[in-house]
Amino acid sequence: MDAQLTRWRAETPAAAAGLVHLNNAGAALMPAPVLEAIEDHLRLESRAGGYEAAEQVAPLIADAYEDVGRLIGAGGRNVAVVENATAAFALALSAFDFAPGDAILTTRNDYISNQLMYLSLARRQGVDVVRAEEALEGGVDAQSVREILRRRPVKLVAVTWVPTNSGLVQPVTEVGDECEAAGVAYLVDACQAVGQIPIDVSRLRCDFLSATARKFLRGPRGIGFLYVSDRALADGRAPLYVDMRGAGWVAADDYRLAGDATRFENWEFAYALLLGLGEAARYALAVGVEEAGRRALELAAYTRERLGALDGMRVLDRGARLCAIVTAQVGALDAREVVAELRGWGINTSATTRDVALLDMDAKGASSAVRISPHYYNTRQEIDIAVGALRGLV
Amino acid sequence: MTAERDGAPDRPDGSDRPAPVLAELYQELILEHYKRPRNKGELEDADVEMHLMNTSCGDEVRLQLRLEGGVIRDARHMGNGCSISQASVSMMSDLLKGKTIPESIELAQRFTDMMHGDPVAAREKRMGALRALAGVSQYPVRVKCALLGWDALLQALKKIGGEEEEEHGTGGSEGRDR
Repeated sequence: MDAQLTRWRAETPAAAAGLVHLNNAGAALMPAPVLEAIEDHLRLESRAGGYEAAEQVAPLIADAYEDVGRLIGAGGRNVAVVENATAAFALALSAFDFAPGDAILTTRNDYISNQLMYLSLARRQGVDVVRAEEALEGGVDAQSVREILRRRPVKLVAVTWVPTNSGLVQPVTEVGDECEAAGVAYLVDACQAVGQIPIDVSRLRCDFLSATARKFLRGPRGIGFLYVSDRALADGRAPLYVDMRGAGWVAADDYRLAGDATRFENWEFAYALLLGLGEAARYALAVGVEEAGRRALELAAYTRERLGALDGMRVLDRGARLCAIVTAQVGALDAREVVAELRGWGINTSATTRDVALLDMDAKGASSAVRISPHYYNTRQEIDIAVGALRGLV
Repeated sequence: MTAERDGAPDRPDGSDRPAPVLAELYQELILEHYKRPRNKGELEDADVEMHLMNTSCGDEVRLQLRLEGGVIRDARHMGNGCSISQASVSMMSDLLKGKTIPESIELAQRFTDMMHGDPVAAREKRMGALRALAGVSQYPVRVKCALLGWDALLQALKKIGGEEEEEHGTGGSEGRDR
């Protein structure tokens, strides 16, 4: 084991103690400094009072925004901290005044909650939900996006970078180029991408990007963020329901939006988790997201190779580019039972079922799949343990 | 307003806890130094240079000093990292100019005291803008960010002292003049 890996594992006490945690796409194990930042602030709140604690550490709170910004190539002023990626995505959608006949262009692989939001907008606002064609190898075809943008007016393009139910990586940069050329607003869901794929929002050319702390970023549960571009801020994009954090009530019948992305925030949120999010961003920057992704990807490729060699196991991941999420159908077994069995042996994985990814799972002819998601702090030995356990189940 | 910010105003009740308005001012002051760092860049005629990196978080500072007659005449820095580490070194570089080596070491010691929770140090006028960083002391994991530039300073001054000892055979750390 190399020195870096030894250090990362030492800073991940559960992994060092022998837990085989291959559920980083669910919620990764937090490194010790992240946990420490959260605990420190909770202790300070209990000593000083919640509001007073936040005042005392105002510089660190501001720093958390800057660190999250650095992680995605943005400034702190472009970051809004919210409860999770889905909340962030919903806030971004609410910044558009959809009218009947307006189109949202998306993909067949977008995350279930995003698909439900589009369908809700279709049902309540009369929005057209248009899904671009798939490329032969899987994932959205950027050429199809271009053709649709040429053919009809589109109000917003929304793409999930990495769907939760497979190892697919969608070509968000290429789609961003098409949006830029067509002058159409662009929203990227980076929930499963942040922490395993380097992000530079200026390369993506996106107006909004939603993300969470708890997955490959290794932050706490219950917090996420929304990137809001300078362009979106200058255009006056704001959530439908503005909070006192996001605007000032300047006259009886008037309000003024905050100049930065805080216009998307609520006044109240968990400062301990915010500081944990900032620490997770700093930790990821120190590890290097490129290096983290390279190691995680290598472990995922090894997992696919080992699983593919097992009789009765079908690896389901498709796409020109794959990430550190591995999905496989385990014989005729329900993946939820497989996950429960593995957990009994100290191996954490998760299950994905048809109902969370209707279009993709039907295309693959699978009703459920076990999801194995290693990260850079995992080892080949842990993969071998998981594969050995699965071999006994098939 | 600018002067007040740069000087990091006292709280009227003398407490080390920032009042709400003061907390905002401190926050702004740190971000101001982070986004528009003072004395950032290279010194062509530096007498000493020290490069330090915090391996646990990746923050990096390269500090250069030019001295005359034992007095720091110029201080420049390069590097990257979080707003705490970069603002701290920016504020430090402002305060160092015109200070003797012993004065600089004493300032570094008082700043270190403040980072370790000394409320008296956090109220001292000579700390200037550095007082905005007092809240960092609540988080041991972040104290090393604030101290990175100061550690570079102390090591740079130690280096000067060592070189001087070799050149002049004295045990002191003052009087270097190139």
